[in-house]
Amino acid sequence: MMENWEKIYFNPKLKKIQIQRSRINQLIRAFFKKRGFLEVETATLVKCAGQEPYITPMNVSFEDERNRKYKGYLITSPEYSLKKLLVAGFEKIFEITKVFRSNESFGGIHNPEFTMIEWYRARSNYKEIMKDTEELVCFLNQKINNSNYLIYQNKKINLTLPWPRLTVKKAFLKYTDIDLDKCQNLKNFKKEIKRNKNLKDLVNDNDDWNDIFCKIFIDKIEPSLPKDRPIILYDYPLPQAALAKRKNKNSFYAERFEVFIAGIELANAFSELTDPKEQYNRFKKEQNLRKKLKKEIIPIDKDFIRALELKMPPSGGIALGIDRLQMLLLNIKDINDLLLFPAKQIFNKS
Amino acid sequence: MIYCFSPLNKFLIKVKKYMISTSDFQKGIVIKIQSEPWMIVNYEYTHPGKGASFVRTKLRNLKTGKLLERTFKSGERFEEVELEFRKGTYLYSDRRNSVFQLKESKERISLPLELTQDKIKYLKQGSEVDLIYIDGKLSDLNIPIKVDLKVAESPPDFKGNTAGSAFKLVKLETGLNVEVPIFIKEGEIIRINTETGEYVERVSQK
Repeated sequence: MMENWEKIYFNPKLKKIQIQRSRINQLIRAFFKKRGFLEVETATLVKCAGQEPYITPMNVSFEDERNRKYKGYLITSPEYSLKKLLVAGFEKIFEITKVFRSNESFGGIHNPEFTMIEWYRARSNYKEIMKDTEELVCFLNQKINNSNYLIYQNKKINLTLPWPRLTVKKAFLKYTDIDLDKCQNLKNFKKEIKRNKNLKDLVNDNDDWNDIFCKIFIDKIEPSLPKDRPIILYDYPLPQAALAKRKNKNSFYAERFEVFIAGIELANAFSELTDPKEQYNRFKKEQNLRKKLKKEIIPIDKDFIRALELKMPPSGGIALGIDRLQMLLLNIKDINDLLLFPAKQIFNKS
Repeated sequence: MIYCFSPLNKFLIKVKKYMISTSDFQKGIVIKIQSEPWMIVNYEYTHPGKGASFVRTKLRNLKTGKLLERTFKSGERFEEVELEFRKGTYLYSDRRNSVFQLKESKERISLPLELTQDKIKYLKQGSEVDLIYIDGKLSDLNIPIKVDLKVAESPPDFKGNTAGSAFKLVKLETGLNVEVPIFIKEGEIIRINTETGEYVERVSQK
């Protein structure tokens, strides 16, 4: 099948998508500039990649001018670097960068290389970031589609502010009748599931806590979310929030939120965890889980821990997939029709 | 290699029990869940921000016809269901059924249209198919992943059309409409991917 540049050659109308993408990115920059954010550029080639057990970074090996060998990774997110900058004293920063993830699909809403925007506010929290997010998307849709409504794949989505917000706990109660308060460990979670006729087939003996959570989420929660409005789901249980701050000292929930529009997971945000000891412990836990899953052990970014020890201000931060945002705004279903050079066309030649 | 990729070359295959994992998922594979045979109708990988990869799967029970949506964790394993394949040819469909003929016995046999309607649009009379039997009962059919079909109707292309679109909609001999590059002409044979319903390539020029 034809590659995208060839399709444009035959059909110059397709240029419009690329022109609009460029415009969206300019508008994003204008939006944050107006709010006093500084655009920064951090490294995409790093020594310590993200620890998250279920995100696989890409390895890179290279040499310096004396042929000394180095091993590094391409970033899965610029998070660690940006937080170091918060410690350094920058207060409102954003970065638009390419990130890379292995084990992703080639198409749909995934591509192994994609563009992410992350922004952080020092002396702030996730509530402020929620506001930024809904205002950003509304602003872009006004400029691009001239409307408060977004039409995506024949669905009409009302973007009027403020967007509906729902805690994860309430979502589980509402759509599955599961009380997450009673599911704080694997044993109790399984016990609750067994009581529920609609769920008990879903769970396998080998599933860990997060597996069960995700299965219910994908199978029961996501399909039930309102389709005509964006939704902000917030306050995730701790096992689902490795870099987020706890709600309070003994809470089972952490200040994390996700934004869904038309069933697409658009962004993920936290009130950032700033306690170096707790961060180190969570990293260790994730490293152990990686070991258990027989995945590559990634060194803990000691610089990042050192930065937290110097004291990071309480902050809110978010990662938002720009390609997905562009797909929503331009009503494109498959990322392979959005990107100029999708991995599928580069690597999957049949 | 999974057995049901292309059993089209034999009359009858009995398949051994295999354990298959989610990474072997293909449309048409039949797995056992709680000792019932479920055919994979559709599947989609999904990777939530924090969590393992999962496969959101649409399944059809081959005994009852019931549809089910189910999410599996990547790497989950299943017992594959023992199926029998018999080679047949497609004859015709009426309002309720699609009728096939078994190659070996010449026996005529039918399947309800709701089971076949997504597939017969790729079949013309005499097209070869694999008829799937479970416990001796005809349950479903497999069609080849790629089929060659003739373009029956195509809008005329006029000069300067390249500026408009690289593709046009044509009607194939089976009645199916597909998007093809504008250089395809009426009467030509083209190859269609039956999993995606998309044009693959031009087979011959007439």
